[in-house]
Amino acid sequence: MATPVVFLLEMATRMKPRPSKLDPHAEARLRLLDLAEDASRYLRRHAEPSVRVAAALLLASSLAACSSESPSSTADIDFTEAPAVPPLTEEVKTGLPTAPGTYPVSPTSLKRDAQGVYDFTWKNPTGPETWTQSRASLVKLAQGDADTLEVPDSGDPTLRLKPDTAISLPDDDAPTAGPTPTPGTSTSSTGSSGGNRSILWFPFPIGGGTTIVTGGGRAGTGATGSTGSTQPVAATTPAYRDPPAATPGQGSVRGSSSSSVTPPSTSARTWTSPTRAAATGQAGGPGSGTAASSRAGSLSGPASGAARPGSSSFSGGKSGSTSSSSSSSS
Amino acid sequence: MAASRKEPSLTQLIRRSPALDAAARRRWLAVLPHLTAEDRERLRAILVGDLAAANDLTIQSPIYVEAGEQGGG
Repeated sequence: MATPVVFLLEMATRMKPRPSKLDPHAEARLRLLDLAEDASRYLRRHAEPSVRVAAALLLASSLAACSSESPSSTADIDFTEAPAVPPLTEEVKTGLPTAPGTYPVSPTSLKRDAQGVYDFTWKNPTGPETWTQSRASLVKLAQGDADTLEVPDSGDPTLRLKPDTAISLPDDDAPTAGPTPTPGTSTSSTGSSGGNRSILWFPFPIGGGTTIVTGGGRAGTGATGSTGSTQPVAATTPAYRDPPAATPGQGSVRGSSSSSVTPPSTSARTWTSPTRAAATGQAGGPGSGTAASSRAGSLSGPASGAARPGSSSFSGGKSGSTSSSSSSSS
Repeated sequence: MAASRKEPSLTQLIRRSPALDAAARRRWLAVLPHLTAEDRERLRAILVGDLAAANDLTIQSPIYVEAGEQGGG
């Protein structure tokens, strides 16, 4: 019985809400929750199982009472708590080749952090065997026969990957730490990618396929896309792709939750790992970093990140942007 | 039934508190006999304070302590 009580205690500590100014009893409920937490600490060791259960139920009901707000007071609720994954405040682009061309990429170096910043090493095809570390937030992905980095004359680079090449996603519960690297500065792989567990993301389904996308970006900060007509994007076509949601214990995911030919917003590129989602009490998966603020902003439609890609209700929080690519796990 | 006019009982406070819904009332009543004296006083202070703030507790309508109540303080 100790385990659920401990779990409830941790949840109560992490999810303790703020009192509503419009609810005259909110302060009392918070104090009752504090008392329930304190009482549960010794009641959970009580000899009688019924008392331990009663303590757990007391804590749960106290927490529920604090979490539920009357409809009349929701306008006063501050939903500006830190999201599970804060979106980038500035795009990251460092260490990339300066000259247009195609460069070999080390497949084992491919990483993408929770904010959607890719981290990989590349080498000059004609020069010395020296791998260069680079980080970039706006990178297109396309399926290819080799793992390469294509740098165009203008625009964002494309990582062309083989179907069996995986990008490592962090599966840690550490908060995204540190300032957002500024463009042009050398950064190490710290911050949100500092976890020691990872989930392998295979962006392309075996056998290829197409993804139905729209040109629109997500409603929210930083959206740069414009609404456009639905169009198929082949796996071999460079597009901005996001990993699907993963469930706890899942070692890998395949496919893309969304693909866009125009750069998605920074919040749309966030990806909450299952471990971090469990730690923060927020929904995991793509674009869930702004779930709290999206609800506060009275966006219509399902809560972002709440549905799994591939389900009929999945929107990823985007305005009109959908994906038909399926994801699978192993 | 012996009653005291000193203070409202904790059981009555729980049952009358507008800060508690029905489920929360049942939970608090279930653990009430097992709370420490200190925590019972904390609970009393919270409920009395909330009742007073809500003007639900007045001198004109005292709440009586029921005889044999456990942990009613």
